[in-house]
Amino acid sequence: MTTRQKVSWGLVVAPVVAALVLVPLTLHGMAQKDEQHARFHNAGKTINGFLSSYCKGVEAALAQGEVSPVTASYSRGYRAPGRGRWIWSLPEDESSVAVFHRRAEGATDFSAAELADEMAEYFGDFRSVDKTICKIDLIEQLEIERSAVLTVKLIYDAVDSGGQFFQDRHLVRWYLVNDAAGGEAYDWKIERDELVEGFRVAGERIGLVEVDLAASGIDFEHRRDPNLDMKRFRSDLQFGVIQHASGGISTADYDLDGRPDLLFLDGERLRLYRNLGSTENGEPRFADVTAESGLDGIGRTHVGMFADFDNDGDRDLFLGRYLTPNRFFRNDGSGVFADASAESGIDVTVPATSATLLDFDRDGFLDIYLGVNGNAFEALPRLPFYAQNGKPNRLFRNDGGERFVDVTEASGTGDVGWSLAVATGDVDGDGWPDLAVANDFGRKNLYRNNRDGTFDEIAREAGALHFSGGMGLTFGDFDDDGSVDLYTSNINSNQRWFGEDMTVSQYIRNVVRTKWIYADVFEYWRLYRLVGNDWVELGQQIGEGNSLFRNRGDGSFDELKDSHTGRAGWGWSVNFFDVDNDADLDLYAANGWISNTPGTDL
Amino acid sequence: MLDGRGVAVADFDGDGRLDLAINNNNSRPTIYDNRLPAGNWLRLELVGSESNRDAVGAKAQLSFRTGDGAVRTLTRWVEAGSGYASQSAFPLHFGLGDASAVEAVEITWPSGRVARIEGGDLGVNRIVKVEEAAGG
Repeated sequence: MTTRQKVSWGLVVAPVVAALVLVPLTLHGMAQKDEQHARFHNAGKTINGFLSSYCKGVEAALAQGEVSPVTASYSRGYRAPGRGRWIWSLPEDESSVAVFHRRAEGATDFSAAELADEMAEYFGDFRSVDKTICKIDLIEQLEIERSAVLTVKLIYDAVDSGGQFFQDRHLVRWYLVNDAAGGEAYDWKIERDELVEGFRVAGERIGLVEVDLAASGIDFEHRRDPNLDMKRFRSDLQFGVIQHASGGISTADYDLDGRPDLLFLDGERLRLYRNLGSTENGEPRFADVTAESGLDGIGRTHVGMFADFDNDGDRDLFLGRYLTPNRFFRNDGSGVFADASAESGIDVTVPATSATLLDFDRDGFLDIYLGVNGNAFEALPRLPFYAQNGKPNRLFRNDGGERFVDVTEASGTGDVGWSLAVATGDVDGDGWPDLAVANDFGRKNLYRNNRDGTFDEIAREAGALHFSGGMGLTFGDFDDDGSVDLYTSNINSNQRWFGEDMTVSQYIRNVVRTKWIYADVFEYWRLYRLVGNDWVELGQQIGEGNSLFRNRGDGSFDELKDSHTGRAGWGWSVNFFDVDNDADLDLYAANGWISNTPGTDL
Repeated sequence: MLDGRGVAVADFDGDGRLDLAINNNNSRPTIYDNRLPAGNWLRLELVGSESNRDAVGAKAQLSFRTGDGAVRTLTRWVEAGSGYASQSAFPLHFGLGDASAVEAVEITWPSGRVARIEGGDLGVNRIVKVEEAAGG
């Protein structure tokens, strides 16, 4: 059977009565479905194995100077009708790099011999390779134990025959066939291939130069929260993955000497570094001032925000922490922080992950919106695509710089997803700051400021709902129309096949078996009201990768699907900024930056 | 391979190009010194009076003439807290390409006040501190 088999999910998301009907139906034949599911996963695992052997083949081919270790991954019966030869375009120059696009020339059928010839020419230009990445993008079809159609990302960091560094990124569609002689064994081979897109970025590595940390005075090394160590707390900790989430960072000129300083957050001991100015060679220099600034010995911090919360002329510090009381420090004007947590009103204990500052009531004092995840000791995210059992995000109103007051409930901003990222932007341009939330295992929330202390959640109406494993958010006007656009980072890559029919059906069976379906029936109903019953489409959206939303100018958004910004990898933090001062906002997304070329959509 | 989490953007070495600092989960951080050939720039450091002092929420619209003589307007907002658990530098950074002068900057403060500064006073490749005036 194929993964394309359609099952009527409408039943599942229909109201309580239908759910009750579904249980006996689903229990029937469950064992058989479970076995299919195991076989499906096994097939996926063997495809991952095939991809890593493909990457090893590329490395072996370059070491040996001949392409047979790569062509060995192709079937003897390889034939690609209408494929054409893949050639490079002339380069477009962008800053100090040249960008080449690869395209298929002609629509001729391609044989194994022609393929070997093309490979020899392609790899012939490589002097050496530093890194190879071969990853599943999306499994489009799978006939277990027989064949598969999938898109694959092939990324090579290499040096060409002239000594120049380059990175090739190809997205190709492979038609795999199992060449193993019967039984359960797998021997995947590529029977046919198509180019989806490919490009090469080539240039001297003079662009973004990695700073020598020791020479620059930075000896920080991120440590996870020892209280979230799965090995030690396995029995109590339900969602141990959370220990991987920590890693906030902040830069601000806390001592007002004109230079941006750096604060690193982690599970054990945050560190503050003062910027001392650059060396003669233009290298930045820092000094560890954690102890002398009054911030020593603070662990379990996810996020720090510097700002002049009391408008007295210096920058104070808020620290959002994971299941331990938040902290608030006042700057005494000389760069020393005094602990004011106890009287701040913001020293609550929640699983805080992120924070954003805004003056939502425009009283001249900066308020704090805190992104809050779930309690990993109490629960797992329930509904992997619409988890609503996290702890509410919190909005704290700053009253005259004296104290913070929790106005979450009155303001209507208590998103109960497993929030990872929050950001502020004036989405509708009315001068009142709005809020955006990215939830892991969930959706985006967009809160419109009603100018009276309350917010309305408008993500669906605004076209920014987007279900996915949301991890980062950034606002910026990349198309110069004066309105804020939104870029979000999400889970991407082979996680995406969790959205396939087969996996969704396995999930549903588990939900029925564990009786969670009864507990979550109202969530299903809400989900149904948001997106209807096309859960497979929803699954496809989950894990599509990063997404760019263009503001239409009225506070509603169009998602730009073809902006080359989606496949940046497993994205956490994202930023809009102009990396080369050419006036175009570029994007930096965790594992690489995406340049905005004039006249194009990135 | 490093496991990047938060990213903070600022001109750490003061050369007019924005650099990056990245906190990597369970390992050392990465700092990238930006040495790309880059265009001209102007940075605005906004100080609020009626508005919050860091001017978070302020909008600045900067216009300049491009090579073909057309006027281009860039819009930036002062923000604190975006990306993933990250805070980037407060000052607003405008890349200007080849332009060697700014036509004008219009600032809408969080208080609602609007201030306009003519470009002649601003220059390029420098940091300009702008305070929210009591009168407008």
